[in-house]
Amino acid sequence: MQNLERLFGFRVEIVDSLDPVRMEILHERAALIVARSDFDPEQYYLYFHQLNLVLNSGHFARRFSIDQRVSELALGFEINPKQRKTGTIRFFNYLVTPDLPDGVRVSTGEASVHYYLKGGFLNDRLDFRNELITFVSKDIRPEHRKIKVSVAVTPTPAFERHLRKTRGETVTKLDLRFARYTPIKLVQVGQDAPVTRARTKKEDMNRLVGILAREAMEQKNARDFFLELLDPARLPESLRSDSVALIQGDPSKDARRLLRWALVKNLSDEESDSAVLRSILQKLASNDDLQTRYKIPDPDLLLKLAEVQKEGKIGPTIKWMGPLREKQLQSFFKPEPAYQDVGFLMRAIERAACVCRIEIPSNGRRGTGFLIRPNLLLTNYHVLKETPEDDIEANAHEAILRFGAVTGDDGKLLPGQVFRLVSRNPILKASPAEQLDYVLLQVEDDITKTTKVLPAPWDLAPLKDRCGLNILQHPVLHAEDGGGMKIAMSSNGIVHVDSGKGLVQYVTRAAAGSSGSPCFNDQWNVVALHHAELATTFGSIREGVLFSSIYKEIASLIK
Amino acid sequence: MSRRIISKSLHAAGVTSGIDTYSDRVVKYIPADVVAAWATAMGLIKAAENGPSRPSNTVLWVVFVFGLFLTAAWTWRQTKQAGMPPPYLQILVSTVAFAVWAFGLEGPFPQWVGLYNPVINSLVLIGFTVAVGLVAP
Repeated sequence: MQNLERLFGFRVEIVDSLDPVRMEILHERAALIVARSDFDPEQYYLYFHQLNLVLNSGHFARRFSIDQRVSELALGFEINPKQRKTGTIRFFNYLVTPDLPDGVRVSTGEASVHYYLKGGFLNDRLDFRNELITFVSKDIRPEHRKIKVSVAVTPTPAFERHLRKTRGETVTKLDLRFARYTPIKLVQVGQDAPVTRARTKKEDMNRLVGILAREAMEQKNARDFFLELLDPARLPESLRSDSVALIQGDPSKDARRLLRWALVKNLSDEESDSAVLRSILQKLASNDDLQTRYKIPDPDLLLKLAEVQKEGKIGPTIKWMGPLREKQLQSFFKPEPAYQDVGFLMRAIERAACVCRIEIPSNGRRGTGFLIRPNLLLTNYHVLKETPEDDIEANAHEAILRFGAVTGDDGKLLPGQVFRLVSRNPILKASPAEQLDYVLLQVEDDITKTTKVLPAPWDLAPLKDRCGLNILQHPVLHAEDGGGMKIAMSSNGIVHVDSGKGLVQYVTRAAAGSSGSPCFNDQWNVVALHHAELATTFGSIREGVLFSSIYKEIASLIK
Repeated sequence: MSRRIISKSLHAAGVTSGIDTYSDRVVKYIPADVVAAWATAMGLIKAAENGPSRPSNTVLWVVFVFGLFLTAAWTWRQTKQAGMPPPYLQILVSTVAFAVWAFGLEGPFPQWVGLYNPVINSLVLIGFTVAVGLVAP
């Protein structure tokens, strides 16, 4: 139990499940804030909270009114200064309207705001509730999404005498945590909503009649009240005299007649007629009951809030540094990309025409391959046979060669062009995985008819350490990855060349699915056939088979 | 999951799993099952020292040597893979790991006057466990 409840007979409660009507009103306010500010709402979560004072009717202090118990209640909100400074938490409090009511003072600090509410103010609002709108950056980790709330109550001297042990101020501190966010609807403020006609419900009509009649009866002259309602419509004389005839002295009946007449006029769809109903409803728009029931935002309040928001008077002062600063911060985590020669990249794109994804549907295996002659494809031996159970011939017959499998404009994988191996004698030459790990395959003749698929040139010159090595490949990086073609480049990626074993090791990235990828030098000529990854003391390196070693075995077939 | 440390992974998707990382290697090198058996056996033997038939320290030495052989044999069995040679380095490192853990858990070593120190054996245990993951076979 909070000390507040124990001593003063009420407690503080913060809830994030508001009734739909309040949610809608707060949402409109939030939309207004977004419209009047320069921050990007896509980068924020939106939270609504309501801070309520809940009375304990069984408390000994029930015989005292709130203003007899409480001299002053201080409501404080504190944001982490760093979060305030970076604008990652933007907090708006709707406790206080722009023109502070009697009994309320506000004090704004660097990263905090305190409201001081007199007991009398609370007494006048027994259903006290404080609504909070907070925008929290999506970048903040969940455990840091909070604001500190403190409620300090000073008892009146008379009530203090009843508090035997405790003297002076009683403070309750709470963490306002942001858990349940509301999707931000981007309402275009200032843009008229599409007008739809709905049938007026009987209960709505009765409600309007009741409000109009009540207001008329509070006036000295009910007849003048009704006539003034129509003044803003500036009706032509003929319509004006019609309306005057409707008002006969009984506020209830007059109100019903006037509304019915206005509705009928409104349905005639002429500008002057629709002004009749608008004129009446404008007058009613500020009615509290209607505002709540029909979710009508108070136009005056919205305007004032907007002005105050512009002047930064609501909530703690938060200076948004804007997206430029955000990008600057991101640059600390994301290294600046090195300059890339466009010609180099264009040659890479040209070479992509030789690369295909190899799929073996029956066992789900995937690899990469590339053309070295218009109908000859090179890939790893283990793509077709890795385990003793694998039937290399069967896998070759089943293999699907998908060229041009890249992501399209919508981010989805394009189907590309599909070819298969020749049905008779598809394997021209092969070397097992423990040796040179390659297989030279013969593709069906249809592949020579397309101009989108081209063989890659090769380079037999010896490789050197610290030279560039670039790989066009079809890795499967994660479960959702479709295995589209990717490029990995390294300007000094080669770490070791073993000409005797026909192997080259490099740091250029590759992953499962990249087996059989062509490794290019900086001139985009094939120099190796990627096949594996090796663990090292710190991290890992990739390994390929030197094309010059493979060439010695297949030269007669590809000349 | 095979206990054999994978330090080379062919890159066809859908067949083999990836290479073992540092933490995978630490887990696979330390023969936790044999160490647990050793800790239990040692506890039983030490408890029996207060009983009527007090076993000598020689019993602990016998159990320790048996543990060394058990580790080598058990690791060899668990890492056996068709068509692949035994992972000699892993078997050796796991056997040494057992010895280090037995040393860390006291065992028969307090009899080595001047060579045994509880602080040093704890530090050796920590250092070995941290460093063993760096060994990529």
